Amino acid sequence: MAQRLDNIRNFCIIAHIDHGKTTLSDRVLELTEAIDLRNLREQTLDAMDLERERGITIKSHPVSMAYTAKDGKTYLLNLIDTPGHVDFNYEVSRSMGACEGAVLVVDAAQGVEAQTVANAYLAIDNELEIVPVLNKVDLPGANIEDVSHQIEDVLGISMDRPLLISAKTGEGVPDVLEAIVARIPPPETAGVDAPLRALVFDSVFDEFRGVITYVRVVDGCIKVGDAVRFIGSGQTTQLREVGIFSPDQKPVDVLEAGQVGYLVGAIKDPADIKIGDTVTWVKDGATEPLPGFKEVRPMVFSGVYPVSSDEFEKVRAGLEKLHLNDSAFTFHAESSVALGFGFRCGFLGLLHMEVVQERLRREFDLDIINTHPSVVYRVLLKDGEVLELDNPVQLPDVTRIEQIEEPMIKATIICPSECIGDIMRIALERRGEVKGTESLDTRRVILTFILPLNEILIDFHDMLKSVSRGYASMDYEPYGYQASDIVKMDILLNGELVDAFSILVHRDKAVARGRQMCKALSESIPPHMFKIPVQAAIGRTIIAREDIRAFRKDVLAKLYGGDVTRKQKVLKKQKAGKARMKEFGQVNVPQSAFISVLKGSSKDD
Amino acid sequence: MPSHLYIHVPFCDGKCHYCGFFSVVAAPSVIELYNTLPAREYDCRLTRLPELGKVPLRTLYMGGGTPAMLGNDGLKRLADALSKRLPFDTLEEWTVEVTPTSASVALFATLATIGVNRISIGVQSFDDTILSRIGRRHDAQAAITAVKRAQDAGFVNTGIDLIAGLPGVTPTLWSETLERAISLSLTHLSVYALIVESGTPLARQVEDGLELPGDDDQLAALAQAETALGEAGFARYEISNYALPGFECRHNLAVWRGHDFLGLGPSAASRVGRMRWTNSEDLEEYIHAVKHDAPPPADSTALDAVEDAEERVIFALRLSEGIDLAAEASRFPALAGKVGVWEQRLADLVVHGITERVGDRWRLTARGREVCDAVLRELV
Repeated sequence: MAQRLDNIRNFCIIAHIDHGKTTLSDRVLELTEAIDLRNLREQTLDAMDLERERGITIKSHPVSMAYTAKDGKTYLLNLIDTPGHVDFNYEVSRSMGACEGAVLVVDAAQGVEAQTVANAYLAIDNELEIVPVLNKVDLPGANIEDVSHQIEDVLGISMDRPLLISAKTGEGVPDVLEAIVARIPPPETAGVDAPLRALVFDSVFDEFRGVITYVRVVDGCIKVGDAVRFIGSGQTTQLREVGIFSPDQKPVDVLEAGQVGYLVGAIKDPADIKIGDTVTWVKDGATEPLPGFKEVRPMVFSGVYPVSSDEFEKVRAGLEKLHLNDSAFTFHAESSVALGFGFRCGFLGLLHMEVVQERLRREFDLDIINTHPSVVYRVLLKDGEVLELDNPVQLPDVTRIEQIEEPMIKATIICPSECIGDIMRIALERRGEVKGTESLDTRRVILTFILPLNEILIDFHDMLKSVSRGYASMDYEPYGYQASDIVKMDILLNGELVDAFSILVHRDKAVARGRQMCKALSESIPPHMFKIPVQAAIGRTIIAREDIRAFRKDVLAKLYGGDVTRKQKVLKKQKAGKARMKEFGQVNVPQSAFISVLKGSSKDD
Repeated sequence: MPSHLYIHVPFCDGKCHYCGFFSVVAAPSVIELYNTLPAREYDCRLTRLPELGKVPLRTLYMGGGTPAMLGNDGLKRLADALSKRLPFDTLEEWTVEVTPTSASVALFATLATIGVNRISIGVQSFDDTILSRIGRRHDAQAAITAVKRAQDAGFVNTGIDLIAGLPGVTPTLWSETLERAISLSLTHLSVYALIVESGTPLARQVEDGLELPGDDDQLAALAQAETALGEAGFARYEISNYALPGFECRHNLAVWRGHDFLGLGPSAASRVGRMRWTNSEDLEEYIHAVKHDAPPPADSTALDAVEDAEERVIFALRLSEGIDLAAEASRFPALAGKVGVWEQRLADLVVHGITERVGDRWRLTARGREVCDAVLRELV
């Protein structure tokens, strides 16, 4: 028989970026004295520097707090922090699977944004009780009435009992804690004595302790020394440590039904842990797993290559280490004629790609080149075979291809009404199809488009922000595959094909994209002693061309005895500088050229 | 003894605005003190590198600075001191750099007496306005007189230096300068594109807004020189050097072809075996060390076999004769792994009109000479 664990609440906080989710988390932690005030630095839960810098959470960190409510009872609150960005929806949904309720934070000045909508719908899908909170009510621009209407009209969430807070000053935050206790249902369990079932919602890697698995115990209890089995993967291990988050890891003797905590066994490889799996006892364990999470599949792929080929192993080591903490990206070795040996990496989305690449540079001090991102194309061959292609270079000869299908997305864009025209134009230029327009309030609309994913890979987001002066927000979700006239476009430097620059592109877009890439390359490759044609081609047909002019002169007028010594040194030094570039044929290409082609349209287009 | 000897005389009567060489305006007592020290530095070097004494002396080059600042007696004493250590009977070429300000009849008589057979006069320009603007302390007439005096003293092999691309020099003025040079019955001309050396007054003037001719104008001036001098029978045998057939500077040819040379005096550079070193520019330290029979302070490097060979070979690309890679490979076995790559690199540039192969030799084309350093960078 199911029983209720009345003194426990499991919840998460969801919000659009910058609406104050992390600040609210910090205040909640302070109020429950879960952390020492002296150690509180801004945004405690966002542990990575990169996260703090960008104000986004990438990894979720659970935390347990004791809270004595106005009813005099003490409750155990388990906060499961969630990332805010669309790319990390998989993490959000993981976290939600371990909760009964969600605190939805909405900026009272900004109102409902795209990620507010996406996260709220996700919470509704997960059958969570939603506690809406208006944050930043002390700001002059706060418009409580309008924003409340938006929440009711767009999200269908009742604002009968509005919570008006300023997470920054702490005003109203105690009411949020009360609402959590009052409104979010307590977890249900088959009992502390029932066979163990614990939901795996995350894992991290610790250099000394191996894999640390984050779980929510649903039924039964877990003790140090227990032999446990992961029902899905079949892995077994003996637990050396169990503990809770307060907010740092703190070992305890036993984790009981309703609690959120961590397990340390003897598992060394994070790949052995499947998120959504169920932990039970080896002996007398449960047979029925908890409903699992959906499998996460990368949507965006890009090559990651060392600038200097002897750093291949260093890059591999970096990727392996990073993967221990972010199992959502995939990588496998590949080689490029132009770039030598490197890796094909799969990411959940664009931000995820950026974050991983940036972490490789920063945390592992790697000099890497990223190739043009690509989506996964489905190539139907005439012989009936179907290929899934994440690298343009692998495209078979056109004569063998029956049809190419590309992945589509459904994009939800919220923007000021006066931007509709511009945003429609941008979306249509990118082969988008309008699915719906809906008024959010008197000033803003919700636009829904079906777009090819590859059209938003490069600068779509930047364009949105630029035409809306930063006010538009966007979220997207996969929307199946669609047949499309996709061609492979190559770039030739000095007449030589550089495979690392090859892209798959819609035929109608090829000329414009070709011009753009040639221009970007011609602006970022420094002049050489000879003229360099930069060409874009489909098959043997050249569709765009730019020339990099030769530099005029480079010669020392006087070179006698002493100068030879000096000159030799200078030449060697300059040569060392050149080694940081990649040489294709006779052309030295700096890293910046690889970045420049990702920048999309140049200003004067 | 070394086959090729350079002696630096670090004294001048003033400093020209573009000059980056080491020289000082010194009191006569200091110059007196310096006098025969290069000969004594030779003794120090010989003690440490006995192989220096195993080959006959073929070329001697005295530059500066202004060698004439040593005075006629000083020059004689230095020559005397050198000849005691290094017999002059095998000497093929002895060059002395002369400035128009120091070009007295007596000076040339002295130089002829001690055995000098080649004169190089720093002229730079034949326009008085330009000369004074770049800090020269003579006019055009003095330069012409200097050439005449050298020739009158019997120096058939007399050459001058000119600077191309000086600010304010129009193509017409440059043409007149070249015509004037051609009219002087010279055997050798060095034509340097203006270099702004850091720390010079010229560098400061440029910082303060002095406009220099652009690359196009400078290259046009060099091309103009090549044409005019070519018509007068001068071959451009090195990027900045022209000579009548047989009058190429043998000393400098030896340097460009990668042979050993010994440099004496402060700031002088040497290349002996796998060693290269450059004496410190500190005149006081130099005098102090050599007076006590110690080698002067120098920045020295021991090269490995590949570096050594590489450096000795590639700079010959500056010469119109170019490089015979197969011959260099047998001259330097260490280059075995390199010549194949070089061959390829140089061949890749043919299509761009930068290099050409003539018989067994690789050489730069006219365009190649404009980007010589970029080509060298492909090889190092």
